[in-house]
Amino acid sequence: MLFHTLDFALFLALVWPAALLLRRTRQQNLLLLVASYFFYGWWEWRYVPLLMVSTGVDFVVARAIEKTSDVARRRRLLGVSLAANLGMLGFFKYWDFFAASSNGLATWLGAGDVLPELHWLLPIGISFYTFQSMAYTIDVYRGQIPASRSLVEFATFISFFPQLVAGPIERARNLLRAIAAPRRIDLVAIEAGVFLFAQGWLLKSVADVLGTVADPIFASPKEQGAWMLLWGAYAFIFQIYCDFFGYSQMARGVARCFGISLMENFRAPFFAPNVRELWARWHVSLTSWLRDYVFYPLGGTGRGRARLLLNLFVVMLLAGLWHGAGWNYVLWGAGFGLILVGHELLSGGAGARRSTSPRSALRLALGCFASFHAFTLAGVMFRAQVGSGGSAVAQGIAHLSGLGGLFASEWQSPPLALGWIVLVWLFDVLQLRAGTSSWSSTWPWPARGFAIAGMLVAAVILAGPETRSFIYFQF
Amino acid sequence: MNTRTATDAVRGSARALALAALLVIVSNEVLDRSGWPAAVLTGHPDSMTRYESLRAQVAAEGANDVVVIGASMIHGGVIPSVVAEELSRQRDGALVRVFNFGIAGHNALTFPMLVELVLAVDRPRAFVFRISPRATDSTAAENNRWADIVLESAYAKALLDPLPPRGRIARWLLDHAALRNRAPHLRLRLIGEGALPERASGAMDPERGYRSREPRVLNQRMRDHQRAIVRDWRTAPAYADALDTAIGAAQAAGARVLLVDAPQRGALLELMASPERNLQGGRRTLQAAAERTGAASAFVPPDLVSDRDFADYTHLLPEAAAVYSHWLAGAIARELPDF
Repeated sequence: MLFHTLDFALFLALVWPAALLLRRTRQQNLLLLVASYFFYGWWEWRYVPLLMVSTGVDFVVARAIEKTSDVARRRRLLGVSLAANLGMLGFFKYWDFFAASSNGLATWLGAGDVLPELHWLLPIGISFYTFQSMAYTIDVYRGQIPASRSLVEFATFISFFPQLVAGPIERARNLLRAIAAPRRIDLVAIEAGVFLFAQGWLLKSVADVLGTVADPIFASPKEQGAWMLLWGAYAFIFQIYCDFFGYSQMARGVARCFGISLMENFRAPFFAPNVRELWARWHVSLTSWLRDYVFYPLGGTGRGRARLLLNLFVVMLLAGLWHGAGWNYVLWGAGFGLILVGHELLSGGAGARRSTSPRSALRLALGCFASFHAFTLAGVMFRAQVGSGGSAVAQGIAHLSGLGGLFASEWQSPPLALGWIVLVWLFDVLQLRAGTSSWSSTWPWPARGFAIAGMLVAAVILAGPETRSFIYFQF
Repeated sequence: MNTRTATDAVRGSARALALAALLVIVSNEVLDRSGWPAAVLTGHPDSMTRYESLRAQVAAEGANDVVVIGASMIHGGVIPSVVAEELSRQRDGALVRVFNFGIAGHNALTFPMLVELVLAVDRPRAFVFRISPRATDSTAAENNRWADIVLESAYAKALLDPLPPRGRIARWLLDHAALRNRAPHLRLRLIGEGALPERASGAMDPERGYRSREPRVLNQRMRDHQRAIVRDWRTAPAYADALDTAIGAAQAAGARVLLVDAPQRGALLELMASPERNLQGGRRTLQAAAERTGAASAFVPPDLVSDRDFADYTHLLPEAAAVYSHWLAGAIARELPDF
């Protein structure tokens, strides 16, 4: 059930008025829980129990961790949670990848298949809700938050439908607290929600338009010149940015209409002055998760330079693997990890400090340009699985052949598609200036009204009846 | 926030939301009244634009007498005004309306949908189907893909499915929500046609034929592309069934049906593993369909046009399109004298 479909509109038309009518937070939470399970079951009801298992395990384990002060027992309990979540994730998401790779190796060595491939449908959102659930248990283990006393509240926190299938991966200290607290759905919240939803919908529509540019290029990369391939890479990176940023904003908008604020998931990443900051601004809920639960436990920046470089690389490798069970994702993670390591070496370990110091406009522009292109070229490998032809695109760009291809007669799209990319940049500039993606919140009401209407009309005009799914749903 | 500020904020939000709603409604009406044609079949823009042309023409001028159905060869190879003039001349000047519903990429699998689309807005007295070997070839590289693109598009489903309650709502929205309807067409304008899925051929104009003045060079890329389409020939039962369904639907609506073929370029035959088998297979399929359904059939004379009359491997240049259209009018008059 995609946010921008009739199905979801009907779903929301039933759930939202009901939430408005219910006065008590407890009743609202029960409604949200039922609605969230229905939302998830609409896609595949047989995987609802999986969601319940993840919820049940972490609810019980976190309570047990809180009740005991025995360090060894607490550690064992945490191990149970991690094993359950990672086991589930590993089995459903990575088993076939592991089996296929093992079988490939065995075949190469002259043996037959050694492991069966199951070809089960990947439970949608599993990478998101297992990470959210694990983070809660780890936070309880660290003593940073208390364990939830209410199964309904906790289950709603794990399954909250706006962010269930593709994030943002929320933290308990934000979302669980918001779910547990009394909340008010007033017109200010509704306006903020409508604004975010309109912005997300427009971004999604732009993503679909850019997809029509990128798809044919990646479908036949060997027939394209180098500049056309580069254009395809640009189109794709903006497509995936708009697609996921759009989804995140729509999720935040829907949540806001229920009186709940979700975290920002993108912070104008293409205006980042270096690759490390770009990564920190991209899919913030995941990058901060990896920082807090992988990078810091590995030692972060505190165990010397060599360890820092290794930690950066390992985290990026995991980020690649998190995105999908495929070697292209591993390669993407490794490739971008090497870029981060390279940046760390070149910046003399002062990347983070420099990024906050005053810079000349030229230096800032060069930094943005370089980090954007590093990310874009790494993204080509990412695209290899989403569609196909990533390696051929990379080779074609590297050869820099076909200089005239960009404006060949059969391609009239670049200038118009560039216009949409400029619009996305404008959104980023407004976000940077306001410090929030709800950039119109301080404007006078007529300007806010025009902004919402403009984005809604543009989204609908661009959208068309053909509904594309969100790219991140497959992760 | 004190009470007064909170009240002001709520009031401001109410105004902003009301203004946004008003602007959306006004924009909707502006777009609706701006004359842009409504849209269908986003998955296949040619289908969309041709269907809208048909709907607009019928609304403006009344029902057509003849609708010609086929793929890109018909789209660029039949000039309706030539066919109409010739038929009119043979009928003592009586007004005859002809619509070219040839759409790039279509084949027998999608013909039933085309007939259904026509019958949704028009009641022609005769249907002409151009049945090329490719139209019934289940091994042609792109036939199944094109059929999927066309038949799986959201609008086609909403328009043609039996319409359960959800479908009815979707259809109502598609028919009545102006923004929704205008969207795909405007989308074409905004992103440029070059960004859309690869077409079976280049720019064509159903009123003037193929736009190229000169034949295009038959380069290796075109050769490989065509070879993948025509190399082999085999027809799956689904193709024959679809053809019968399309013809049956036309006949059930009271229309007469004529099945025709079209000129083939010599260079195209060279790409076939067995030209004789391809051509004979196509002809047999056409004849068999005519016998099964009682439709009339006509075959184009081999010397109607020469190899120099083609813009590429399959599409006729404007002058040859006029010749073929002239022949088609004669075939209609001859085979369907009382349509």
